[in-house]
Amino acid sequence: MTGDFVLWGQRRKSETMKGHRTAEVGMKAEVGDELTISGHRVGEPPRVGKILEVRGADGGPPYRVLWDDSGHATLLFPGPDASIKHLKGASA
Amino acid sequence: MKVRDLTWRPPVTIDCGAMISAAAELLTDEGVGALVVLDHDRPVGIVTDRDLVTRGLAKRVPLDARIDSLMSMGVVVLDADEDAEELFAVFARHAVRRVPIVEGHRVVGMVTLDDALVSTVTELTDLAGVLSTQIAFPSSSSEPPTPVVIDSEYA
Repeated sequence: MTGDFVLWGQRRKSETMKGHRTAEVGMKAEVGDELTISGHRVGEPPRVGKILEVRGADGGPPYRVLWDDSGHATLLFPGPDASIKHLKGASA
Repeated sequence: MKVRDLTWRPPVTIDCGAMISAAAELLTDEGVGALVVLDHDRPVGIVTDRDLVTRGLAKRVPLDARIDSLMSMGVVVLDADEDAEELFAVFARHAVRRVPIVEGHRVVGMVTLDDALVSTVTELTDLAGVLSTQIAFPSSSSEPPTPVVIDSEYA
């Protein structure tokens, strides 16, 4: 293990539409964290990037993310398919 | 040219728990092709009129289902102070036709590929007008003529 997975803080379920996919709220990140977007189709690899900048208040989005696959940086509000892995202080 | 110099439209948003039928009505009433989907006022996705057809209607998803079941998750945005070239790069890299624009962490607008094209063509038209004037009136230049040096040995 190289660090702790932290999803979007607490998940919440809609009070009016229970049982449907729920969005996640409370995502927090720091510069240097790893952001992963899961694949949406069978066999599609997850997309992984490093957070270069945190624009929102209190660690919230948008984040500037440098993608491993393309080498490009993107300013992004992550969706519910994203997770953040804190790497700061993790053992190598 | 900066992104903020391009034509913008205010973003039209919808809550992630809203019904698909409400999204269709909003798209119609506002005359836009895409909605930014919010969860607790934070963007979490985008849904387009095409999504309603290809992911909803074509797959017989009920109209009272949640709109976030049809949205594209995550929202790639661009800062208003970025160069327009970066916007074109985002259109190309992400195969999207609409990009929300942010100032700080707030979404303040939506720029479409159509808007960007019109703005670019308008700028090129202005530039072509300057060039046409210079071609039509070449003597209007205020620059002094370039001096010609003649080598005395061959004069």
